[in-house]
Formats: sequence, structure tokens, C-alpha cells
Amino acid sequence: MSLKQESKITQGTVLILLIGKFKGKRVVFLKKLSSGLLLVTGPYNVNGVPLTRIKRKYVIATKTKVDLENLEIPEEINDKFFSPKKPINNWEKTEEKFFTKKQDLKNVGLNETQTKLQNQVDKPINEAIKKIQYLKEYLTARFKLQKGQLPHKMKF
Amino acid sequence: MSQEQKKEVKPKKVQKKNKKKKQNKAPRLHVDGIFMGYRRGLTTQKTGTSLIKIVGVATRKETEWYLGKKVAYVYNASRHHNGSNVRTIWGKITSSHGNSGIVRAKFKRNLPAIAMGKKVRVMMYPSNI
Repeated sequence: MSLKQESKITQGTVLILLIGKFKGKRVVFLKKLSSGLLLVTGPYNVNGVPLTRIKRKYVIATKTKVDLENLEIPEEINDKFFSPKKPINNWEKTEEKFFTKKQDLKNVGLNETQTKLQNQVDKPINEAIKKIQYLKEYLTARFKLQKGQLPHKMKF
Repeated sequence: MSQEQKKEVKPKKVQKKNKKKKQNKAPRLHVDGIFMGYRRGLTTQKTGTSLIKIVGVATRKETEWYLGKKVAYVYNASRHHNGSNVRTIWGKITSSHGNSGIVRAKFKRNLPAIAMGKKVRVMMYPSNI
């Protein structure tokens, strides 16, 4: 990765996600984790994107920046915090698991620790978003290519 | 028919178009392209490399942005697998081809000949912006 690219994405830059569940969403960049992945947040109340991490190559960096004034992100939010949970083994064998529908397990939402950290991080970001006109609406709206729009001609 | 058996005439229900569904439709984050054919000379074709015409790209210089981007050929099959009959063949754009904006792509498995003239999706990642 060239130096030019690295300096583009700084704390508070608005990124467009290109892949995954939240593709098209505009999110705020927080920090680069030790694994090299980028830590971002919606914020959660604005567009439903919680604290997540993505690879640099699946993201478009825009010129828009939110002034976060060197926000300190709690050390608890690191790669271990996001490490995938172990898959459910012996799915049919446990009685309880046998009777719960798979649907009920899908969208569990955020658990307690996640919501606590989410609110802690989102609070100053929401305040910073209020200062710029239409920024909240901008973050709520999803990016999409419309008819006649060509990405090689667009300026992000 | 007796009066008891007569059914009440109810006003017809006006079917509301479900506007919410359209708003939450998945956004299009790819550019359409067409699979023109394989790389070829006059009499022989090399099926390992496909030629793709990206919509709106007409010069060699414009193709620079797309080099390295992932491409997907999406098609339907009759058999459902994991709940869906939609299948993809992934590939990436390797280089430009000629001066008029055509582009060469290599797929994980070569594209089937039936895909000629069909749409292909050129993704916006891996992103360099």
C-alpha cells in the first residue's frame, strides 16, 4: 500500500462499504487495528452499522470527514473482540437447540458488552455529526450506482 | 337464498403497493458488462481469457480504473443448492484489450460459451480509491 493511500483514510473519514451485509452504507472510520483491518462504526443509531471491521480494499474513502478531535477508542475494541464465535456443534442433539427455530438465532442484535461499548464510542461521534448540516442524512442514505453513473468518472 | 345466508357486501380492499420494499432494495454496486467472446485470432480462440465490454467505457485510458477489479458472471440453474439456484463464476479483469475500451478477464473456471452476449457484473473492489 502506497503512502498516498494511507494518508487518505484518517480518523473521521466517511467510507463507503462495498461488500458484506452493510454494502452501500456510509460509515465513519475510527482506527486501524493491529491486524490491518479498519475499525468503523455507523454510528449504530444513524444507519444500523455497529462497530465492525473491514479490509481496506473493500472500501471507498470519500473526501467527507467528521471532526472527532483525536477520539480515543477503548483498548477493549481490538481484534479479539471481533473474533468469530465457535460454530454450534451437534446441532440436533441438544433438546433445546432442536426445538429453537434457526430464525430466532439469526438477528440477535448486540449483546450487553457490545451495546455498552457502542454507545460509549458513538456518543462523541453523534455530537460531531450534528455540527455539519445534512451529514446525518448523508450517513443514513446508501450509496448506489444509478443509470448512467460510471465509477471511473466519479470523484469520491 | 334466505337473508341469513346472504353474505354482506364488503367494500373492495384497495391493494397498497408495498413502497417500503423498493426503498430497501439492495444497492447496485457494480457496473454491467457484456461477455463479448474469448481472446482469439481469426481462426482459433483461447478460452482461458474472456473479453468484456464494460458499459460506458470507450477508450483504453478509461479502462485503467477497472484493472484488477473482480468480475462475476451470475446465472440461474435448475437445481437449488443451499436454498438458492443463483450461481456465480468469479474472475478478475487482467488487462485492457485494444484501444476501444474492451477489457480482458480471467475467470476461476472459464466462462461457458452460452454466456456470450450475456451480462457480467464488474465490481468496484478491490478498491484503490
